[in-house]
Amino acid sequence: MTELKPGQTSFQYRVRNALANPQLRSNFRGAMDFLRNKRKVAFDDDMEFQSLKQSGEAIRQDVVERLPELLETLEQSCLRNGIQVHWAETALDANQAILEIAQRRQAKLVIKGKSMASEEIELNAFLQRHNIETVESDMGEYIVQIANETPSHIIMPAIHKNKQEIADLFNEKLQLKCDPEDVDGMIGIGRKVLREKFENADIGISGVNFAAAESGTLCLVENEGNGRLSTTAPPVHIAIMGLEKVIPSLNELPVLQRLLTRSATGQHITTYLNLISGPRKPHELDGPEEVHLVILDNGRSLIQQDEQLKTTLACIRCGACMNHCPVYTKIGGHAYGTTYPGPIGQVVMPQLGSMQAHGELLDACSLNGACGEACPVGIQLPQLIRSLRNRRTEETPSPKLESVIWKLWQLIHSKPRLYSFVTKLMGFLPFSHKLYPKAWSATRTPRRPAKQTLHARLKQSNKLSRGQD
Amino acid sequence: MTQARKNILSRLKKAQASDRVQHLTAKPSNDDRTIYNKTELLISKLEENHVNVYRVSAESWVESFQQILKQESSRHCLIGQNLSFQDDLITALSESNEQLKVSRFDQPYESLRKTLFHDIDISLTTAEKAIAETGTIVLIPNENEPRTMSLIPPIHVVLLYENQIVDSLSQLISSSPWKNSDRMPTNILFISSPSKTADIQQTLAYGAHGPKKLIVLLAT
Repeated sequence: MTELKPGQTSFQYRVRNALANPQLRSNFRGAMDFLRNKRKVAFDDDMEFQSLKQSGEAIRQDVVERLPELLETLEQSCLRNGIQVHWAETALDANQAILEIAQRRQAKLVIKGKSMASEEIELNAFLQRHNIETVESDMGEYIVQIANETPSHIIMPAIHKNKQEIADLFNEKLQLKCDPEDVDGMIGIGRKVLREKFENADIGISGVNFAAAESGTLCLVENEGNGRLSTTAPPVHIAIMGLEKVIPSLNELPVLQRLLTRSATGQHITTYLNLISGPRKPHELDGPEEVHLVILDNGRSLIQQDEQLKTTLACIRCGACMNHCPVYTKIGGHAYGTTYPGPIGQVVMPQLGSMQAHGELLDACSLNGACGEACPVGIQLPQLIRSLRNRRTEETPSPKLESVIWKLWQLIHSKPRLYSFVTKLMGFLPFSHKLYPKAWSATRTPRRPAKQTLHARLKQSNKLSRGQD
Repeated sequence: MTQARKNILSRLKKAQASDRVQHLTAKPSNDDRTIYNKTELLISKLEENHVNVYRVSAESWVESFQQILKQESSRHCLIGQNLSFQDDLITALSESNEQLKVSRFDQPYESLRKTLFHDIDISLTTAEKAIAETGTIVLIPNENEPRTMSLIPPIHVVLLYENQIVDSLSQLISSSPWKNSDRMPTNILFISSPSKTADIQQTLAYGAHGPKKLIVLLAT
């Protein structure tokens, strides 16, 4: 680890550290190549992908337009099905609602399926402060939890670690001798430890991938079975969802499910698709006695009020944007320092939190457009990043020198004669290649501008070809 | 909490009032391609996903199941209750294999929990439907075959009839009796492989938290 230098922000510090860590970089490179390839194979037919994407976009945009109506329908349907509904304006509201249930049930052990919304509200830390043991059961989340870390990817939380690092972690924290080549063995250890928790947990907590309003159905997508166990074995199930996860009905599920799992992990369908529409009925023999749905706002309703940015809420959290982002691939998820990393994180965090706290993330983008192309529901992420950059500059104007440079740039580029003069001049000045900013030239050989400009060359070749006619 | 509800909804409605409505048309996706051989497709998709499929006859599937029990050296098998075939099945199983214990899921989960987690090593359930396109078994657990039957035992065997196979998820949903109704089953499960994970360096491992093995008896 390098030291924090004067004038360096903590984000810059984390980025530098990540870039200087060859192990971390090779872990991310490997993982991103793997996920991109799997997605590419799953969407082998581009026509089909574009048509699915169009349907997905239409469904999600429609949801964003009709949020209040759909949420009210969802609430009514859930209540009819016996699911208790809690509305939470803030992270604290959501945590309090969950704590109240836990205290009423005198819960000591909570088992959790994967949920980014619960990461967002920092539920584990909150419950642990109230002496309730909270155990993550997704294998990746479990690894991250015993390492005292946070997820570095929204779909594959422990993607920053390789086999060896996980074996070392198990050796250290569980006092077990693990062979890093024996992945089945390590998964077996996780299974054994966590099955005991499933058997004895008082409450199971899960996220929600889609909530169908018309039938009051919570749709959960997963491979491991920990989601099913969390929502089936303990006597109480609490599901927590960002309010944008609602969909009109189960009719929209096939399209969204296809887009989600293929974009996320390249699977046509996950091992389990679990549709929950209520607690155990009187004559049934298993399933939770109580099911609760926590509908989380935490800034989302403000995003919806913003005409320019509200498409942010169309996101289905598949992670394709980060998998395709060249910046994320190099710096990894932790460098962002936020619940949601990568392009969607850059867009969501300054809106859910504040521009002051997270606006800097917007710098970590080269506007290459890969995220926008990968997004299965057509969110124009590069446009959103640009809009947010503009707002950030409006809020905190850039340094004087920077704005002078851009003014000059604007002037030159809007006057053709001046432009032609300056480009010619750069070709002749002997020191022009030394004008590159240091951040660029420190690791790259500065290029000397050509003596003849592109315009001049084109003119010349046009003349030549006309001469030949 | 009611205040929170009011505040959230009023913010969302405020935005809506000022909206320029801009509708994109949701085209039905082209997933309704005609599938010519559903059975073959289902089998190949299931096998691709590490599921063992046995083709059996509707009359003699019990014999095939007995073979599986032997193959897997099963000691304690869990079946549902009030099933048309249960008495014949129990008689056949106890005659052929004296070591084998057969239990029915006939009491609440709480009193069966210890046995479920620590003793039962194989379970048998029926299926509701199957989806050819993705290789998916659809279960609608109920009081006769509760949901933990397909979740906690390390081996899950499913009895599926060929006429239960449909083309796609959208076909299943649009033709289902529970679609949009207020009689939604408590739980509907779509299962496409044994439990699995790739959370350790993208290495695929089976038997993460649910069954390590999924066996389908496809009866004609």
